[in-house]
Amino acid sequence: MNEFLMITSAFVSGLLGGLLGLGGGVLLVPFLTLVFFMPMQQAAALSLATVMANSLVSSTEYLKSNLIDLKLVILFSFFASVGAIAAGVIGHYIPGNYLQIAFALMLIHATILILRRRDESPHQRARNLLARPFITIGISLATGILSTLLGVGGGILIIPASYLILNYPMNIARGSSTFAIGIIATAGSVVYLIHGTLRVECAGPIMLGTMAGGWLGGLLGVKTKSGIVRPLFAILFVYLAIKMFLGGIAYEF
Amino acid sequence: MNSENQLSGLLRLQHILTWAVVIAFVIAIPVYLWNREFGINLCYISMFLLMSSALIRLGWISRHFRRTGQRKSRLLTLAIIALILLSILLTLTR
Repeated sequence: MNEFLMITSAFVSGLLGGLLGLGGGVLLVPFLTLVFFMPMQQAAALSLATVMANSLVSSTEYLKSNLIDLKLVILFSFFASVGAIAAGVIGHYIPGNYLQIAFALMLIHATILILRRRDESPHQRARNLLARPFITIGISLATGILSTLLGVGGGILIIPASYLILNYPMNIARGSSTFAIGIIATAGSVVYLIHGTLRVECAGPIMLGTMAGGWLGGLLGVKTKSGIVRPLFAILFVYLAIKMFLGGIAYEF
Repeated sequence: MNSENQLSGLLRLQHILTWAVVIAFVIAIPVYLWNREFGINLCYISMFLLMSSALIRLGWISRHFRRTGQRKSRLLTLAIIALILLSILLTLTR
């Protein structure tokens, strides 16, 4: 695969993901599968590697602002790592088209989240760690499995769970999620790397492209009116979801 | 000591790890384009460095929990490190 094209597509997906604060994985996987015709497992593995790198870079900003709760990070990371390792092992036996269909459904979920997202005021609720242990464990396991199988960070599950179920303030939920997904992605990536699913020669250009795009997207995101950007992205996500879904079905029949 | 001061060590560590990973990949990519066989080894080293960064940070967090007397959280942190190391071991020995 052409390295320049890889860096460009990774930069664009990082830029668009950064504009929305979703990370590059949500758009990188469709790029790699639909544009470069990469097998879904390989695309997920590469995307997961970029999640590791992005988490390392972006969680630093949250650390500076003291917006990371290490107890929350560890609680989510433990159960999610169990899920991630299990998914890394079983991921090879799941047909790529099923994963493509699952990714399409995840994109629809992300679309709903984008359209419903509100700007929350910081420190608006009291903390209540381990308020609902079984739901927390279930969501953490699901995050680990989904993030490893689909190559996304898992923030779309952790953030709502921390905010809505554990009653954490939104900014701490985001900061802790950003840190935790790096650990969860590592747990899944080591299995992919040893299995040979993770193509390290592609990982470098893609990671650097996504990081640069994510940085610029983050800067632009602060200046751009979210009311204009969100509906446009919702349309793009629905389009990609339909493409991924049809691709998954076409593979089947 | 407030929590901001307590986490400043982790912040410094993250800065060092981020630069180490970025420099490793920036070197690995042109080397890979010049000499694929040698470059791929550098790519593996860079990836190993990136993955190790999570374990190093977890190690720091475990020490932080020990200092602050949070035994349960420390055990959970050590369990995550053990899980990741165990998964490497099991996958390698399969």
